[in-house]
Amino acid sequence: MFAASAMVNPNSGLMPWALIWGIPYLGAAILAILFFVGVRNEKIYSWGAVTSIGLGALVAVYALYKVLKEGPIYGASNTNWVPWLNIKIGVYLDGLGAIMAVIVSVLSFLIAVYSVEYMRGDWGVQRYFFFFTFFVASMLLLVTADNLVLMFIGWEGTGLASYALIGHWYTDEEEYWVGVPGRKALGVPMYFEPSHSGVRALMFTRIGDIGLLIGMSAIYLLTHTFSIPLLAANTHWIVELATKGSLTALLIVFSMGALAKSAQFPFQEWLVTAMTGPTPVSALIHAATMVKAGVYFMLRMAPIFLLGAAAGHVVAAQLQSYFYIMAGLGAITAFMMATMALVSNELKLILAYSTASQLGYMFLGVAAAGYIVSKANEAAALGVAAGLSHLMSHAIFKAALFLIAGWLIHVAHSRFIDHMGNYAKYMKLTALSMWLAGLSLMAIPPLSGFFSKELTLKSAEEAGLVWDWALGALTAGLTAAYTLRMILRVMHLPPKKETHGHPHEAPPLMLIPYLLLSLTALALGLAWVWVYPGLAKGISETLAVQVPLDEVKQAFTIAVTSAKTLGTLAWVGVSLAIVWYLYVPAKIDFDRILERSTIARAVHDFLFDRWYINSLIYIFIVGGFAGLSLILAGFNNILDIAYHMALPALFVLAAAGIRSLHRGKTDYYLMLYLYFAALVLLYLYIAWG
Amino acid sequence: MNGMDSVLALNYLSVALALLIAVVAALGKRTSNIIRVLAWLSILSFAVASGILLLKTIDGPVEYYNGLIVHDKFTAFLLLGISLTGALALIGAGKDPLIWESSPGYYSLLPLVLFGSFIITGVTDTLTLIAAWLLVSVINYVFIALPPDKESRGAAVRYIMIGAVATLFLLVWLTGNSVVASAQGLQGLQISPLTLDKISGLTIAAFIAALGFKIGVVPFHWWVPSVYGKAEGRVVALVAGVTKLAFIGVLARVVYLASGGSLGGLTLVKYPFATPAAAKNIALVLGVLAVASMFYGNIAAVATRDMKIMLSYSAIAQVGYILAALSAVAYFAGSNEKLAYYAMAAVAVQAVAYGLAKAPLFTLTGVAERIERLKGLMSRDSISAVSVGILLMSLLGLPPMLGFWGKILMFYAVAGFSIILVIISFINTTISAAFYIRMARDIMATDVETDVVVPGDMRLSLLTGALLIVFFGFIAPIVFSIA
Repeated sequence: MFAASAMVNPNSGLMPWALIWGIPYLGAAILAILFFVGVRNEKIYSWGAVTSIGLGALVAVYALYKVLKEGPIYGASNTNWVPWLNIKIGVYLDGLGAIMAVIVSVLSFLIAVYSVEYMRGDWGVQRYFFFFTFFVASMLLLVTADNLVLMFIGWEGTGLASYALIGHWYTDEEEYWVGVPGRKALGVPMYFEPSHSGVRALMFTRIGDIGLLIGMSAIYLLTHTFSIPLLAANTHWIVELATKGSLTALLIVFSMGALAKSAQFPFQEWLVTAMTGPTPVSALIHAATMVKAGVYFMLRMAPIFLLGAAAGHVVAAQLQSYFYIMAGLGAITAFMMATMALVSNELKLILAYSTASQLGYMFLGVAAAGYIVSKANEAAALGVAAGLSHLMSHAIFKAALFLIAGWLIHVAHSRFIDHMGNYAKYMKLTALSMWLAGLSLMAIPPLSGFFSKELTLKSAEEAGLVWDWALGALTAGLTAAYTLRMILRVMHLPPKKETHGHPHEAPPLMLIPYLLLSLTALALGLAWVWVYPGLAKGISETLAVQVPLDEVKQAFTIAVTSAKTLGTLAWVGVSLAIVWYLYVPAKIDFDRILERSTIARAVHDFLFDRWYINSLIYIFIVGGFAGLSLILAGFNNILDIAYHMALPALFVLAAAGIRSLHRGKTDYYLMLYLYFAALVLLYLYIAWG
Repeated sequence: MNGMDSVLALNYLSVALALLIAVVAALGKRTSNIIRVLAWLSILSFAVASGILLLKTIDGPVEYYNGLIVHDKFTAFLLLGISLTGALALIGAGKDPLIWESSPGYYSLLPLVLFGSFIITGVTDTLTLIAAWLLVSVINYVFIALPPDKESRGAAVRYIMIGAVATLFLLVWLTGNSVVASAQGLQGLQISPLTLDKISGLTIAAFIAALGFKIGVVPFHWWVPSVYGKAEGRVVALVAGVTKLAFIGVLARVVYLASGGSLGGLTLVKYPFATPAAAKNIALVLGVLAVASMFYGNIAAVATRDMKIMLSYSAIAQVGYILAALSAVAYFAGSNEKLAYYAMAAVAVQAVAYGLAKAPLFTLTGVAERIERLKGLMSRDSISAVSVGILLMSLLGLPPMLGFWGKILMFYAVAGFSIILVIISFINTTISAAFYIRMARDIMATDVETDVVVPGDMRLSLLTGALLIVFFGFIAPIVFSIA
């Protein structure tokens, strides 16, 4: 067994490791103070954010180096932070935590640099960089926390920042909307303002967070600890829950926060409309980092859950049910969102659909591996390998695509791809970046996306989850199709509608970050053979992963050499060929087809309006609550009348009645006094003895 | 001079100064400030004596006059409250009483009534009680009649007439006690046990009727709105604040002893017919009277905008809360010392909170009888407005004021035997919120400004009352070891 699995006591002080999130938090605090004392200089905020995030990234990189070289780091405060809950402030840097910290901090740094140029002159730039820095700090806290409470604080911090940044342009001008203005589905508007989208994101993710809180509380009641290493060291709580038959249900409730955060079905809607935020925000929060928090949760907790499998059949069966459901949700999300991306005409929306779809792959990879409970140790390793690999490669290429989208939307003065076209002629480097990142998204070898996606499908294949694998494989073709369509329409084909933009290459501060990221996607793929042993080392140093390094390495090689992988690749190739044919030689006019064919229009509308899920949520859930609210309002009115009119009238009447008894006459008072005194005397005379 | 002597010495000094006031007035200095100074010194002397007494009683009851007077922590706290309430009334009255022809009476009787309170709250003997009762009652009647207006005198007459009947009930209690004591002690009277029980029941009923009158318990309260509502606010502050606390003290003492309680193992103090069954009956009667007083007072107060009337009725309701705690005293005395202790503490704290709030508020009615007139006081006189707000919130029972501890202790003790009584008390607190908060809101309004000018003395009385209420809010839990 690895030391990582057994380490329940700190082997280091809190410092310097807490600097990973401490420096960005300090940076955010300084920015806030500067704002309140009246400093408004834009450069102080932008470069202040870049600096604090960059310093945090340096500490994270150093931490990863130490972890890979010397093993996990567990730093904690000397005293209890919350004594009655026995919680310390702790940083747990095992392979998973350290790799996540590096991914988050380095990507955030690059996106922050991009933001310096992108947000220049914006009326809320100070607020933007404050929340940006606060977000990065919270995300780093989330992935390095040693206990569930600290992790939850980071979790909610990211949610808060996300809300603020989605609604950054809260004055709600139409140019910042998502969706086609005026469009409705089943009578429900399908266009969203930034302020509305911010609230939607908060509401959707809060529903999941309630589940997370319930799960945390239940586990605490059973174990009396929030410490993640301790939960892994003593898995009696898993056995206890399974004995009561409630393990599957509780784990699903516990994972609701992860499902919502990573926009998995049925919580996917918030991510789509979160695109009202500035594009770097979409790149950072809604592609590279925050949406990965749910996947991180699965990567962190699934191996711990699997430790309980050794306790016997009852636990194993309930764990299987849990992983089966989670894998199914991942596969459905991957497929569903990819179909929506096929018909979308908004650049950021295509990428948003794609993000949710790719997150589905990650869930599928982790959960499907977990399904193989008979080989719990190997399953944990395979799951973390699949999930973490795709998380890493997706974070890189999707961040690049979003940053590119930000520039293209700026150039086109429109978020719709109908107003974009032929940009490759004017911006070669941007086109190159888009192709590299896009090919990685399409999972074309040798780009990194190919290796990581195949690992997730390999999980489903190993687990024997045929339907999930089939959906995943089908989605691979759809992914390639919508990505190629997007690149062709934006970069190589003429715009469909008149455009007022003046295409030109992005300024260096914006170009360099996405160029670097897309080149990294290529380099990572080319160097996969050398990169992946490092990754495997990290995985083998992850809490509750109990498989030797060599076995973890094997999981990678098997994944990319199977026959099914070649089959999937062939399907991707076919898919690409079809799209190329339809758009380039055949030049099919899809708008005319939609005008003429009712069936085609119905299918298009179904996909374009997101399977009507948003409308159904508004009709049944929001509408249901609105109806309930109306009923309660009616009831409240009755109470209001009773409370404010009937009751006071009654009291006035009673008060007048009582006061009318007092006539100011002495003989009358005497009579009353004697009469009641006699009553009391009589009562006590009878009662006594 | 040893410790015990110091208490008595200061009390005697207080009485001597009171008598000196009469002498000074007789020498033609009726309107002189010397009279006020002497009154102040007298009250100060009594207050210091009460403070020393409180410190002495922390360790256990203290005897005076060969055990005829026994003070414990509760009565000592009550005496301190009485002296401070008297001081507040005196501050609030300012120089106004000096212009009354009866001013020597006002200034000299106040110290005397304090001394009477010292006797009556610590009484262990029936005859001593009668003597102290007469002293305090007569001064009480005189207080009402002091101001030179017709309404005050009319109110005094009503008060005296019903008060005389109430005193007769006290004599019934005295007689009944003697009969029972004789039958038990001397064996001279041949009375069957059943008849003896019946006489016991009648005597305690007579006592409740007599004291019920004094403190304004429903249904013996009929005089309260007429007297409090019609008499001059400055003297009502004394009657409603000072002497009422003394009568609450003696009621609590007798109920406690009659229900089987003992004063720190002092064998001298033993009530003749204290049995568990008697305790339950007393608790029941007091509980019923508490409920009646709370509802009656609060409902009658809720719809009036006359400040004096509102304070009068709410005084009845406040006595209801105290009676609820007293019912717990009766229920637990002799059977559950811990809850009996909390119940006695509740009586003392609630009574002092009541007195400290009511005395300055009643003096305020001297400048504004209608609540509407005080609307916007905050804009004109923020010190008075905030002080009134604090006093009202204490009456409502909000932390950190003293009234909060009174209510909490009462809820805690009463919950031990009747959760229904707790719920009823809570409902009544909610009802009272309607008029206390409404008045506080009116006073705090900043969009209008009142034409009422609160005189400096009155403002000082309100401010001192508010500060004392907050100060005692922190001290009371320490004194009664409940923090």
